[in-house]
Amino acid sequence: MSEFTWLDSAVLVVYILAIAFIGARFGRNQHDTRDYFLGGRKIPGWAIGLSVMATQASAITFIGAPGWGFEGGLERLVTFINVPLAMAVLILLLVPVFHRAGIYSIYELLERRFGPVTRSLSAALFLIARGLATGVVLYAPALVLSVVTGWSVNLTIVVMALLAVSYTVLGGISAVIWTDVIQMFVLWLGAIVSMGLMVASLPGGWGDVFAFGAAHDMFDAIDLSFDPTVTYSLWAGLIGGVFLHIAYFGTDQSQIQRVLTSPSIAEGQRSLLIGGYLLVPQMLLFLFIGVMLATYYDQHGLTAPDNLNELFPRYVVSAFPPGLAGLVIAGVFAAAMSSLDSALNSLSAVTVRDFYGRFVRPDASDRHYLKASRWATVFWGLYATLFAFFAGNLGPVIEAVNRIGSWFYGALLGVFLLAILSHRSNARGAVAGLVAGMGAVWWVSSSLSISWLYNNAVGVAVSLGVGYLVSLATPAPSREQLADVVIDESAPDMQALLSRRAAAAHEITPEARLTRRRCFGLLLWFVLLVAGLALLQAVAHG
Amino acid sequence: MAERALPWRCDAQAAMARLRRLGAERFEAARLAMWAFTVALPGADPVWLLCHRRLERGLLWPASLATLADDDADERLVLAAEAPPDRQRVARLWFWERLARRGLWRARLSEASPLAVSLPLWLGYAGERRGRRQLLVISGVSGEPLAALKPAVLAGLREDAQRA
Repeated sequence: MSEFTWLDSAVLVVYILAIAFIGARFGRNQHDTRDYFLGGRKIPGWAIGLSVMATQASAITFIGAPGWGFEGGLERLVTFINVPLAMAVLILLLVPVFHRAGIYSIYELLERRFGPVTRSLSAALFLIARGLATGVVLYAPALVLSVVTGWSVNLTIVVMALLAVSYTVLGGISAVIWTDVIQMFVLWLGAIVSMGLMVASLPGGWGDVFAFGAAHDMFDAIDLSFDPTVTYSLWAGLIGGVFLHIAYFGTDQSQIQRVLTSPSIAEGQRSLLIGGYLLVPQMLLFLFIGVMLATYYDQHGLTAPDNLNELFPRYVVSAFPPGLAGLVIAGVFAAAMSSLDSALNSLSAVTVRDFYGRFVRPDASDRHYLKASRWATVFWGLYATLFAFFAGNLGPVIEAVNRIGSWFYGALLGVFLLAILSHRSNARGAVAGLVAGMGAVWWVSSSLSISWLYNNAVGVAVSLGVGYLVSLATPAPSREQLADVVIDESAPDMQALLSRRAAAAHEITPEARLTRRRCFGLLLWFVLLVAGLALLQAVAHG
Repeated sequence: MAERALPWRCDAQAAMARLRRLGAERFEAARLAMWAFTVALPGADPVWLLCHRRLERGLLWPASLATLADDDADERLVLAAEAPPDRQRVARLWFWERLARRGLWRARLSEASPLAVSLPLWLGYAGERRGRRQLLVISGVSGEPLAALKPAVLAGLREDAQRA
């Protein structure tokens, strides 16, 4: 077994410098603006989708999912199995409303619909939740650095925080889609190579993996138990998980920002579509690596590290040929930096736009706001660093990120749904719904021992129900407050006008709607995934 | 000064196919009058931020603005311009846009007066069978749906009807 050699270190440094160079060279010139609107689009949709995936979860997935799979096999895939359904809801329901409203921060929509208090409360929840989750994201590359260098993880957290905050304040590695795509491929390459190496090191090859996995029920991805205390039952994944991911991808500014800044609704929908298709297979790949690692450790009589997040980085460093280990570790670093950059940027943007620019200095100069956003980045870097010191105690990083979100995002999603789906709901209802939804999640998670996956469903149900009932007891919203969610052309005089224009316009023969067809594809994909897992489970049990 | 225009790149056949997929039953071409503010990029040709009083955000056009051909204007439904949006408001909008997309950070709004510019659109009409009309707006340049333009298009349609 080899260690992290000088060649690995050289590859790591060259890779990081190359990514930074590409970001600096291509991220800030007109190529970026040329892709912004209407014509001259040269970047394919799949690359944009991969770029979104790279920002979302790549480093966390790489580090956390194998540890998860090592411990529980494929059973935890139900946490993600609902992603195609969640993306379909986002594509059909939330993205068109957000895009039509022309907003920079999604919490602005809540102000237009419900008033300033709801916006401030929602933005504050986002800041708290995303700030905590950024601590986990910071912990992930710090752990890798610790494994590579042998330094204490607390020291590497501080080093990573300094690095991440510095380059975010200095302008960051600009969101260059192709560098994100490269990172995704490097991480996938790392996954595939590790599978090959592990299989080659087992006397029985794949047969050993399947025999070990089947003997330890590691391929049991589908648990049909209706018991709500079973954490990873299919129903927890479907009912709870679907709300978890709608809330995570739809109400977290750091996730939805790229959709908001995409030049068209279709573009925003396309990027979510790619995530809808690829996130589950990616998670399956890394969970399966966890199963393979369990087999590998068993066959080689090795003892797993106490912190299972270290499992895969340790394997990469010890088993990969010199140079390739450096490349994969560099990919993890670059992907983590991309996620950190994106998270810190959205935290500082929301701080300045939703709070500082409204309450502290409403009419300051651009230069002043830029300075404020840099200080906000430093503040959120410190906040995340403090939390990162505790992130190692939260178990697998991938679960920690989702658990943190589940305390806040359900109630937030409930309020967004209230804004969009109920034209009767008003400001008092929204605030009451938000507070009650949060309270319900805290009560359920501290008093009942049901699966944490249900937290978001509880938050959504309570905030929607309480919000609607309180709204019924108070005056209905004005027409102006509904402008962002009611179709503009619904007024009777406008209907008559549109009918006159349509009568004089050219006719189009009918055909199925593209957007709906896209979502049918996601639904079909979901069914295929569940069927595939059921088949694997059946085969494993003979 | 002659009015500037963005070019038609999405022809009637392509527009019909796109609008059909979005559920439209009928369609027509239109031009929406907007205001182009100059955005200066160091070491590069200027780009244009297309604004309208009824839009929450501007649209960025990264190429030159050609002069509108007279025959082109005659054939289409023209949705007239309103007064240009307040310059201070545009400058602040552009600041938030730059903050949200750091790739645009170095691009600054210049002091030059805005130019009248005509944006090609295809308007689709859906909902004939349901008895509730819906307007679909796609770009005449790329064919992409541009739902954010609906308030401006609806206002233009209303004004056109009043003129008629």
